[in-house]
Amino acid sequence: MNALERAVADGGAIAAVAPMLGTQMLALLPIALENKLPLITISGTAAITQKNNPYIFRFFPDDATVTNAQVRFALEEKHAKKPAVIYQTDAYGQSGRAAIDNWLKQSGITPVYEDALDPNVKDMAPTLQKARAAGADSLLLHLHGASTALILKEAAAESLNLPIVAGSGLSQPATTALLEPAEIGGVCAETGASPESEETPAMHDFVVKYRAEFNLTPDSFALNQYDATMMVLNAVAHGAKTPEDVRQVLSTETYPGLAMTYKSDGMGNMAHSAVIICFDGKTRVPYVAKHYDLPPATH
Amino acid sequence: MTGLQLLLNVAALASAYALVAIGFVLILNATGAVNFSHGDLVMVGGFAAVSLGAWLKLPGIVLLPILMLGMAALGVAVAVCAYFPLRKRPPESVFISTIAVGIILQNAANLIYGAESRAAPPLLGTGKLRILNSSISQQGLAIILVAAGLILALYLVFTRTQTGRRLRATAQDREVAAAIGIRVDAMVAATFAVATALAGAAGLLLANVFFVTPTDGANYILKAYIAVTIGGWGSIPGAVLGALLIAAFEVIYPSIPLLLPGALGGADAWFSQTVSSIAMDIVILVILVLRPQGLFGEASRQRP
Repeated sequence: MNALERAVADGGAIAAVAPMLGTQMLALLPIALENKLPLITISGTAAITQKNNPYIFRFFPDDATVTNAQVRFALEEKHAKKPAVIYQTDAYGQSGRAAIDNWLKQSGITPVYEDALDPNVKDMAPTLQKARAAGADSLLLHLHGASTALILKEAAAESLNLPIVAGSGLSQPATTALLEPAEIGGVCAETGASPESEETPAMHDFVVKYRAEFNLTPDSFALNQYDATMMVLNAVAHGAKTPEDVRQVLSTETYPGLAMTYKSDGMGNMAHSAVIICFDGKTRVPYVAKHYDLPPATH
Repeated sequence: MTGLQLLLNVAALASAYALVAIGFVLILNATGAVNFSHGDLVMVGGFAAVSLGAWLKLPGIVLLPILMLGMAALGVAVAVCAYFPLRKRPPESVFISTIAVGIILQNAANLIYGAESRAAPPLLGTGKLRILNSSISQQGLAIILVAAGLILALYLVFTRTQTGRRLRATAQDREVAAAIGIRVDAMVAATFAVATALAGAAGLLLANVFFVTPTDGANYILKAYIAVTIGGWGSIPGAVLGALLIAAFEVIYPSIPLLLPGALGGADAWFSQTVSSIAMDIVILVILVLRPQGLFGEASRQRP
């Protein structure tokens, strides 16, 4: 909050690239509203665009979108009928769990086991064992990167052999770097995009330039953040001079980014597509198994 | 999950936590002050193991002595910067200075390594061993053996060497120790060195199985503080027992429905990971109400 208030006080900012953590975003909402400053974010927490704040623009598909893809893939492609849902205790995890449960309910399915994990939980064995004891035929995860890596490591060590569809935490190269390729063989995950999979020449170029600049492999968050920033810069290049100009562009226009095409649904949700990536067990680079496009709801 | 697997998981986690708690107590006894940077020193040990592993491409067991030497030097630096200049001031001054050291270490780690988790190399290997019809992780077993070895070495140094006797004398009463000719400042610096070396070792042990991030320090200092409080303020055996209690809650409590299948009558939700943390905190409060001096009593210094 201090950082945003300082940026506003310094004057001249016509938009701000805001944090990814839902908890932090929720704290920044009143500042954005008070100062009429558009914030662009890649936070997935549903609540940040449910507060009737016209200055928040989310460039990552929200929990409802990605979990829709996650659940549909689990049910349709992995034939899950008795899933276990394991989620983080924070706002991100709880928001995701609520969305997953909602999508499962719409398909007439109730999870056979659910458990919330604090990010500091180290031993994942009890959770996995209890999921198995409850008769789960699949796992749906909504965890941050480190927790995802811990649970997948444990699942591999126990030879769990259940279909696992993880959250976007697994789409980050920083997470897969913690695991051996064999430990993620057959595991899938939802995400907004997978630049590492280099599906298009433009994505390939982005990945090459990103690696050259930062010596890191970009993840979906980097790609969506890039698209978000470029949309704002594009608006500036086309004459936007004030925060209100930028807000107007973000609220009304369509932008063809690298990851997807963005358009506000009236609530600040700009991204309405998700992909499911899967790992073949030989490499840490995923392949895109399925695309899901959801048209924005009108408000 | 077999009972043996469960016990080994508890023992492995408790072993690493015990190293953290023992280091915390050593500085507490030697200086009368809480070193709030101790958790961040564990984090630094983890990242140091990551870097050494990437640079030297050697297993953790070979990196361990190198890392501990480096961490010992860091411990002396912490003593010189955060303790000695303030030792004649009120104890709160050392609290603040060690908190500041922790913040510096956390931000430095974030700057150097970024916010994402990293994994340190395993001690020996990451395979599984079959023992008594149970599949046991090699790393878990190695953690137990290495931690036990370090604690034994510490015990031998403290009880069988002249330096160890001097360290104990300094911890018991700095003024009397100075009066009989012990170089108290050198002993305090040595204590910081030993404690930080143990913290680094714990960091290496934990960072392969559980990874390391720059923000891990807060979690470790909290565990150390709790372990030492319930074990007995200033008691090394108490710190080990406290660490065991914490590890047991983290591993055994959520596993109770597995150990007693069908016996809980639908109350399995009371044994989730979240409730496990709450249950542990309730037990801690009960212990402190019934036995405020901790399970093993309390050293003469007042607990802050």
